[in-house]
Amino acid sequence: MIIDNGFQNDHLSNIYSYQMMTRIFIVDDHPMVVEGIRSMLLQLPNLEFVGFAMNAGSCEGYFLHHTADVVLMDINLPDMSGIELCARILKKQPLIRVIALSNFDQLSYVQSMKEAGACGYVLKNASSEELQRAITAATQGSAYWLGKDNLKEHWISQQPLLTRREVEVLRLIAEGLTNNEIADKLFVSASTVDSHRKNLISKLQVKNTAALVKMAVESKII
Amino acid sequence: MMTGMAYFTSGQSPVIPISRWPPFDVVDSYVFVSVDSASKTKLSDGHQLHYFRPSTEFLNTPISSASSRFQYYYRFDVLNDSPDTVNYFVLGSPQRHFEAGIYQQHPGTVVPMPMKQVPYWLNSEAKVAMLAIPPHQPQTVYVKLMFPYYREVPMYIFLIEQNSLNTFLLSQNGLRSKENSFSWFYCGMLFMMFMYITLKFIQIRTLEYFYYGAYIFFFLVYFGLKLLSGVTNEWIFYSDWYSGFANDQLQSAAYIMYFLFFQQFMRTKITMPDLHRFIGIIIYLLLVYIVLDGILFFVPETIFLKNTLWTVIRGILLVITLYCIWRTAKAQIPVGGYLITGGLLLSFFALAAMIFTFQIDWIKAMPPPFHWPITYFQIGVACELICFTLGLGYKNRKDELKKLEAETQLRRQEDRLEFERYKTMTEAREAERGRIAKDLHDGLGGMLTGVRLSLANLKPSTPEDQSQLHRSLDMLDGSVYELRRIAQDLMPLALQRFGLTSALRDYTSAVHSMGIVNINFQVMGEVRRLSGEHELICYRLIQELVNNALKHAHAKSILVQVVFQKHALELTVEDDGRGFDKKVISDTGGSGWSNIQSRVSYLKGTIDLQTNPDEGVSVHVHLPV
Repeated sequence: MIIDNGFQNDHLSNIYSYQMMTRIFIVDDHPMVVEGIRSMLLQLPNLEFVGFAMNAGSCEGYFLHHTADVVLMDINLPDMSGIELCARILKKQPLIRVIALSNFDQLSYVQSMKEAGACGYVLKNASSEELQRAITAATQGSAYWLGKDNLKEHWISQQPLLTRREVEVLRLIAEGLTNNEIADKLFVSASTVDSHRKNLISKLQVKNTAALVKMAVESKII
Repeated sequence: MMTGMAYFTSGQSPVIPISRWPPFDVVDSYVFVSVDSASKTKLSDGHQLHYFRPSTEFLNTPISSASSRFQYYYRFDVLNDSPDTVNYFVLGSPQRHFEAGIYQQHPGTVVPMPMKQVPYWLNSEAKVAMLAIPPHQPQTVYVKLMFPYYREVPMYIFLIEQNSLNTFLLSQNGLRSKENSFSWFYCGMLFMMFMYITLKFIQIRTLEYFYYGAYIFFFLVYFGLKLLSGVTNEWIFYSDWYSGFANDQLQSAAYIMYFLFFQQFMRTKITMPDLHRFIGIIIYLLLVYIVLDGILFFVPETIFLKNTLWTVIRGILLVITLYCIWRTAKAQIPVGGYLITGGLLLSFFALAAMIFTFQIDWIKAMPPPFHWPITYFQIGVACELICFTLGLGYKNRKDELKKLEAETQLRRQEDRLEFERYKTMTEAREAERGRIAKDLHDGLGGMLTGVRLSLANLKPSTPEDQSQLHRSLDMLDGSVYELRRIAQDLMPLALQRFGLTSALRDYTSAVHSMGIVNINFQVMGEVRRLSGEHELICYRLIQELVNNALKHAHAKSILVQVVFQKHALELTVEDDGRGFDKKVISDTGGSGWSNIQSRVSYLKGTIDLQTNPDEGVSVHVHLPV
């Protein structure tokens, strides 16, 4: 189902204003949401609503012969996920800017949409100002992620932390104990000790156990 | 202290005119015995014992017209080669159905010699007469043997030096004979074996052991009685009571037990039904025989029938045993080898013992105890018992292994059922949660969004309306946020879509954004997707652990670590909270912990919990994937 002409009343004026107007296409399976977004967008300047689709199939059908500048895309669609749809449309028409419009506020969705090629992520209950900012950012070639310009996972520490078990194993390694001896001491299996040792080596980015001990002593971990 | 002389009272023996006696010139056999040439054995006190046993041929010579029925006269010409006069005792056999008379020939007359009953072991008595033989003067002695009913009774005539009578009698007494040490040892071993099998029977309680124990028991009594009644020695006086009664009965009973054991051991009911029935009939016949034999014992006239019957039955039983062995070999039953070997060995040695009994001369020269036929039978029984015991042990072990395997299988099945139940329950619950979460998100979430959007499009005319609208919108936003949170808690839809790592990142970020704790999430190794079940369980596991840290530990920082290994996944959750005493968990089995433990064991993983009061909690979970 493609409704693409209902809001284009003056063809000439469209040609005239073609460069300035941003053509918006909405993909969402909730008519209420489509209507709500549309009426919200209509209040904003330089935006042109070119159509909407309520499922991935009709969306792809539209983009076979038509185009748009910005697509506001829901993630939960009945026949395909918005993430996949985003990637498919961008493959055919790489110039389109996709902004995800979703109820999910989890970063995994944001991350996935970003990987799929979207340039923005807005929650459905965002204000019209926020939506405006996302669309502006999209047309200007920058990005907008849930109110931020860049997606940085600040809570992931850059320097890997050692767990207490790892520290303990490291100390015992430094004491010169073998895997089996450590396992006996800590009441765990030798393979567990070995995996701790491997984790330590990769966490501290050293090559072998000797370097591990040296590093541990130097950085005063033990 | 018994002395030889004590048996003789002085006094004139009545002289019987030769005419009044059966004609001594008509004797059944005539033997000349030189003291030096008779069979000899050395007694423990160093004296020589001379003995003479009429050969079977000798005994079976046609009965002369002069002799009455089963009444024989033997004439012995005894010559003393030594320079001194020697006193001899002449002994007759102590059989109940045997009577002896000893007479000395004097010129013109035959004088019955004074006889004395010598008490012998159990209920037997020997008849003894004393004979003085001066050097180089041949003496003639007649021995009358009377067999009232049956003549084939082994019997001996002994010539014993006077001083050695006591020693001789003692040597006949099975209880005190040094020569019987082998039998003593043998019976001791049998007894120990019997006790051991009894123990096994009490422990295992199968009929096999019962019959086997009974089999050993009857042999123990058989050999034990032989030992006690002094029948171990081939030339010994047979105890009348023993040979007439217990011998046949005990052997028959042992045979019955052997057959019952055979039936049980070979499971003949299933493996060889026809043989099973046949053996059953044989067992009943043997029982009838035992009763019949018991009755015959009290009718002395039937002793010939009785002994013949036993000889025939013994032969038949041997044949049946061999038949059973042959059938076992043909059926090719795995444990049958032991039975076959044992049976063959016993049959072989029993046959040898039987032959040696009649041909005693063949083994006479063997060193003791191999000069006694019964030793061969004992060896046969020992060989058989060794084979049977090994067979029983082997079979027992096999049965046990089979049982153990069945048990293990059952337990495994139970475990699997338990897992299935857990799995079904968990799956159903999670599926329901997923459905609700999806409905909330897509249905209610979508509608609320629509409402919010249409409200946002309102153009309030007054500032009051404007602020009212803003408040409503805020409330609506709050509702949507709450809805998202509930849906997320119910089922992290991102888990299914993007996998464990992404979902955990969402989760930790959400926890972090609450601002209560500082949470660190780190992933190591090659991130990959696992099965939906694994991912969900791992997610719930970490959720539970982090929840514990938040709720109970009042931690300030939490570390969540996921390490992907080649064939395993390692999850670590650490906090710096209050920690607790490990004992508390094992004692109270807190429901949170039991949840975690059942989840981990469901995935066949291991937990390493490290905590102490005020030292925080560190949980390390290793899961094979």
